[in-house]
Amino acid sequence: MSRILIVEDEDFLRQVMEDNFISAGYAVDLATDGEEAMEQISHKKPDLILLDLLLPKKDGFYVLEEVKKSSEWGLIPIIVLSNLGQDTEIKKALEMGANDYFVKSQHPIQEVVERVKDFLEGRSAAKKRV
Amino acid sequence: MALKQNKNEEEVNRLRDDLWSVVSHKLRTPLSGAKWLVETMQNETPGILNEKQKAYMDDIHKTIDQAVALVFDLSHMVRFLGGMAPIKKEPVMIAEFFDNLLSEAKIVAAKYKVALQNGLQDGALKIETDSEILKIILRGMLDNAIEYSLLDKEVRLDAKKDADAIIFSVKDLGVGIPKNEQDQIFQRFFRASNAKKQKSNGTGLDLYVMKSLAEKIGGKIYFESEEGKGSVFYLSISAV
Repeated sequence: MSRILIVEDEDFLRQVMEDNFISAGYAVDLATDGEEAMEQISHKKPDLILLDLLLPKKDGFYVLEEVKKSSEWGLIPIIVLSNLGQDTEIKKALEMGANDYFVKSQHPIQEVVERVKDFLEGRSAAKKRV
Repeated sequence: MALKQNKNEEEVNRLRDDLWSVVSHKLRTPLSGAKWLVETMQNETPGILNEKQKAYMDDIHKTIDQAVALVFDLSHMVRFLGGMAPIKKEPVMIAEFFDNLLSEAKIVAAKYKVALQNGLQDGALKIETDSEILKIILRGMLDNAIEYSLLDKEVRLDAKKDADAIIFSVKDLGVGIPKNEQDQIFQRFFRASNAKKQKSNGTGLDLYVMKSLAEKIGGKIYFESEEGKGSVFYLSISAV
């Protein structure tokens, strides 16, 4: 069973994502900020990370940088889920190695689930969605 | 004195930018949460819904989509029309730009059972403009064409060089705009009578925002339309 790490500081968003990914057959770990995300990744390497950008303590850009520069974790796909929707933020995240970018309010949750399936089943190439 | 005034203006602009950035992000977060919660209910992940509950969930979802669209329209107004974001001029290769645009619009097109066509013939066609604004306008035109199309019809995106301008166009075979309402179509909050029937949750702001954005990049928007047969929206931008 593939393992997904959801990094999201809003309780209700974290909960609804967890419900959908468990229902789709994945094991799910949760983190509420960037520091907790890094602890989770060290403790239990995920197969894919769903990452919010505006987070307490350490933000999503920090997590993106730490994961992508690591020889151990660098190949873990990271899908950014943020409501920061300007081209500058999207470009920055993609340039830092994010494999995809969703502006949360613009996409159905089922589309995010399908995109995760694509990545974990090796059907996907990097692409931004705004 | 003038220096101090400039510094004050810069500070006010910076505060306004920060405020808007926080407000728009903070508005989108509860909306995206509510949208995903409703979708999870609609998928019946937590349990089976009865018909009345399904109908209410559909209504709530449409209402949230309307609020999301409004925040996006307002965001574009404040950022570009309010002078918050500088207008850029950068080279845009239209073939690549169209590929990305059509790829992103595919999901909406599938939802409305509309086929997307790329009519571009000149693969080397390019333009110097603000790519983010161009994308907002053409994506808005595509979304409208898709949403006001009739089932199983096609929407065609095209661009051609004409004298000193590039003319972009989006053609649909949809409901069209009634002749006696055509001169009001770019007014704020105006919605054509048949558009309200086809899509009850439109904001009435998108065409106004698109037209204003087109003017910001030195372009203009115009259209041809026949009720019941469809519309072609054009965006003309100087290529000089």
